[in-house]
Amino acid sequence: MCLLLIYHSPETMGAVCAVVYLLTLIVFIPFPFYKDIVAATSGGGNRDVVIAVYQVETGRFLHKFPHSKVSPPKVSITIWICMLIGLPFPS
Amino acid sequence: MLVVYFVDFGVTQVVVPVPLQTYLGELLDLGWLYYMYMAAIAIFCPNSINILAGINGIEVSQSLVIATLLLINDSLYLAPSTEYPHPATDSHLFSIYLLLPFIGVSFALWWHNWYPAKVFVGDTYCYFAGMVFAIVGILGHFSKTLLLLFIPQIFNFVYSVPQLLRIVECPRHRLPKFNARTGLLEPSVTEWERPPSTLVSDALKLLDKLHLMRVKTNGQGTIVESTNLTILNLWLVWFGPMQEDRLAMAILTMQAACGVLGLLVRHKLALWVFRQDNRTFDIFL
Repeated sequence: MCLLLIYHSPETMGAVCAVVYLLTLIVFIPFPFYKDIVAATSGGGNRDVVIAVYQVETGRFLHKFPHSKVSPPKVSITIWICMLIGLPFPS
Repeated sequence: MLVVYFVDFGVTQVVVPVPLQTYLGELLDLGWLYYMYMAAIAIFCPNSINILAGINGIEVSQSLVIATLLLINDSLYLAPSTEYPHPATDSHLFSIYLLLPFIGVSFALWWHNWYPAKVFVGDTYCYFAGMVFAIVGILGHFSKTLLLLFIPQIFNFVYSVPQLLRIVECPRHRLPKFNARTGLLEPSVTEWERPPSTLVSDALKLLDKLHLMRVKTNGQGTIVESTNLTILNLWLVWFGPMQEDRLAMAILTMQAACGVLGLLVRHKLALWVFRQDNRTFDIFL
């Protein structure tokens, strides 16, 4: 039923935009956190840092992830929700 | 999103303008009022873009203009002439991450939506764009700059209020009328079968005198027609009927000019009202 509505109404082009935008964001989000992600996993180019298995298992590196910068995924979910709220309203 | 704001920053204090500092101190903690302000912005932005809509290409183009101006504002914080790392660098970088894909996606839509349009946007694009701007402004801490860039939309909203509140009758569509004979757009009108009350009637005639709308009266002086209260119709009242793309270009030029003026005001005058700008830019001093 919902798909039918979208198919009939010609002015939901904004939904196409929003979906592509979200996909782009999701693809490119890891890149600002490159240093954090790569340092926590071995083989990140810095061969001097040898991360022993026991360190990773205790999860000590996880709390050093900058949660203040983790908002983008939440942001994209917010945009998605707002778009979903906006979709049922026919123009 | 507000929850994200609370968890990440929890900053609800605002800097007080210098003249008021003797009464309120340097920082004023607004507490929950700040969250109301954020919520208001998140509701206002999408809807204000939605009101300034209706002709080919105007919604996408105004979003593109605003996004470009925001990008310019952000790049001011990244230029080599600023101190590095600037305390606001992160939030401006973040806003660039969000704005660049937005500009890309919008430009793709613009290509097909400009006059003569082959695809059309409804509310969905307006809400999407408005939410992106609101999020960027709130999480980047520059909501006032965002509002400065939104001045044409704010004006349009204030101008539309009588129709939005049904003080003046609000027809379903208020976009400019297309005259098939001349091929030009003309201001659309509200027809009054029952004349408005005396107070409303006087107010409308006053607006007509101030050239803020056009009112047609019959022989007895009662109002028969009045142009709809949107900025697009107002532009057509001022400058006569014109082709759709010329009207869109004119509105966009006005938007860009207001935006540039807004940015100049924000960075130059901010130094007068507050003791320090976020961004010391020696050329402006």
